[in-house]
Amino acid sequence: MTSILGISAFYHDSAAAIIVDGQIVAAAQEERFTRVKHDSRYPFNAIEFVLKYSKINLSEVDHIVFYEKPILKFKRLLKTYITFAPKGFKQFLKAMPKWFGGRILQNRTLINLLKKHDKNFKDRNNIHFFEHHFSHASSAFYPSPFKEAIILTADGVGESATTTVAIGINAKLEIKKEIHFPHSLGLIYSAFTYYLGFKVNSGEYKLMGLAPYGKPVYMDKITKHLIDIKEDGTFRLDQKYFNYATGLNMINNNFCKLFGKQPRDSKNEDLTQFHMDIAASIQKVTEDIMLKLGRSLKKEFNIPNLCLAGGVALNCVANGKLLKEKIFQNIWVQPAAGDAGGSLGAALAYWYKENNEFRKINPKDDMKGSFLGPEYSQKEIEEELTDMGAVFNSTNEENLIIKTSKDLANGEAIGWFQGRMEFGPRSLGARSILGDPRSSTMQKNLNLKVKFRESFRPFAPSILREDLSDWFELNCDSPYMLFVANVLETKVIKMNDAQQKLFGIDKLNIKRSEVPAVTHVDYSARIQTVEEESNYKYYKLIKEFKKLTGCPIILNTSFNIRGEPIVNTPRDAFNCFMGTGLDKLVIGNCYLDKKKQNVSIIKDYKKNFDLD
Amino acid sequence: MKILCKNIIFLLLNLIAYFLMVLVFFTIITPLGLILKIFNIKLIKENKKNLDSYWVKIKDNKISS
Repeated sequence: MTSILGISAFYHDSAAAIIVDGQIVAAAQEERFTRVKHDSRYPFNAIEFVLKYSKINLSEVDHIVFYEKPILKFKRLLKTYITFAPKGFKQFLKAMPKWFGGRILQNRTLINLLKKHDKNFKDRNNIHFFEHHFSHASSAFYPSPFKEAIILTADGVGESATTTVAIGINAKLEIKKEIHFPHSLGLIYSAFTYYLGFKVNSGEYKLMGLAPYGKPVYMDKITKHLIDIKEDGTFRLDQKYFNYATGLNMINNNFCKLFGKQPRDSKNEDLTQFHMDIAASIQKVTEDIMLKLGRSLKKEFNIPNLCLAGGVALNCVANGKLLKEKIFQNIWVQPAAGDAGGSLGAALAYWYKENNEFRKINPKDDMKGSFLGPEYSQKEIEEELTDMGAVFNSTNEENLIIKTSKDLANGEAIGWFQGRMEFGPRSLGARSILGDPRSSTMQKNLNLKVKFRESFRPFAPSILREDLSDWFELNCDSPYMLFVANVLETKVIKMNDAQQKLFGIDKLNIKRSEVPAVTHVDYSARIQTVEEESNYKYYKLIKEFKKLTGCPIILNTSFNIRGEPIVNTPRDAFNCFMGTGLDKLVIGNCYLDKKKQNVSIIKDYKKNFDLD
Repeated sequence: MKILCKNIIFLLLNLIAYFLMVLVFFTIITPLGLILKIFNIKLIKENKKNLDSYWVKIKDNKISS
């Protein structure tokens, strides 16, 4: 038996994953345990969890693999300072103490930190390092259902690469070409995220959600001044407009002058049509680049399968466009496409690259539905709820599903906590907030009363796989909510003349389809397909909801509030339930009604988390 | 008293560290950058051959321990 522990840490979204004999056993992000969103610290709790789950002590682990090579990253930093000198002094002063405080000698730092798990841990020779984008590429290819694939990774920056192309055949994976820092698709998207007043490395989803409210009127300006895009999709950013290479923020005055406005102050300034048009423009540029890259890679390598990873692969609108264009026969996206997934990729990379092991291909995929996190037995759940003073009923699974589907049909907001927690940023029916997608007030209410987030943000539909093509312009599996497609025209409610003249967020109040709560203003939806084999209880719930209402769709959003990591334990779930406008909570086979709870437990929950 | 001494030592060490960083930046990094600029030497990898593409070809991804 060979066990490999993968670790990603010290930038953002720290995580740990463990594989045993090439099989993915467990993986989790540190933020879920520490309750600090995008926690970048050493993933002590995540490592403890994966070791405990796989029943292995650290000293028994055969190999430990870190998801990037810190020395190469440091080299890139020095090269950047030398290239841009004398600019970059402030960033140099801020960055160097971190590097000399332990990052340069990562091997030694890791050994010291690892000893906290197991005093007997000594082996210095079993710690290995893979390059950042190779870890991403591995996380996308090895668990995929493809024997042969093109792997495209794109994010902010790794060591020096920002975009890479690799070819995977069976167990062999090789990076063929790269685009290097400071030219980065992830960073230009983050620069616009910053410009719109959202948090970098966190608010990119908001920009994507805002884009459909605007028109891409600034696209020409972006492609003429900020980014030079070649026919093959490769690009180069004009550093005259950006500050991220040497400064402490993303953009400079030239950038603001180009668009005629200063960055939005999120605390004092509302979103306007200008911001929506900016969002639409950079989203369109990103989509065009991804399409051009896709076309040129297909032409060059003539392989029908594409795998995606890296933060840019979480842009499900761009993924949906790639799928719609039918450039590739099949596309598979790693559900933990961000840096957290690097831990899994690094472990898999070591298994296949060093052991040259035979790769057994799973026709669905090897991610086990991405349900790789902690789970709690019925006894543990009941003990925890009792300890917290919760009032609950325990019932059998059948009753629970019937009761919950009735609540959903009555327009109630339900906290749904079942089985193993998801690995990756999406809730897939294990730690979810559920609602009725047919309600025209659900989107606004959930955003404002439950999630405490901006009203423009869309929600996703979970649909029975067999009913997918009756509702959406999509006919392939999308179990990880990573593809956006339009609602079928037969389900759409056309806008009248007066409605068509509305701008931006005013469009939000129009009933756009038979499932308005999960239909975005451009009639698109971020779809999750649900199958009985991989997501049994959730599948049963949707099936029951369909029996009751004729609608095979449930609104699904992550079980958290704005700025909070997704809930991990029954305690987190109960706290969130009591601190928000959720009506019911279903944990395991326990059923909780808000009206029956002790009101003195209710706290001002929002205060616990910094709004992002 | 002990705490005060510790704080003073910590402050001094910090000052020395920052002084060294300033020294390195302005006596090594900046002159080196300027020299490279004069001789038009670029440290960041670029594709100089193919004007239709910004891809940089890669030879191998080695694992390090």
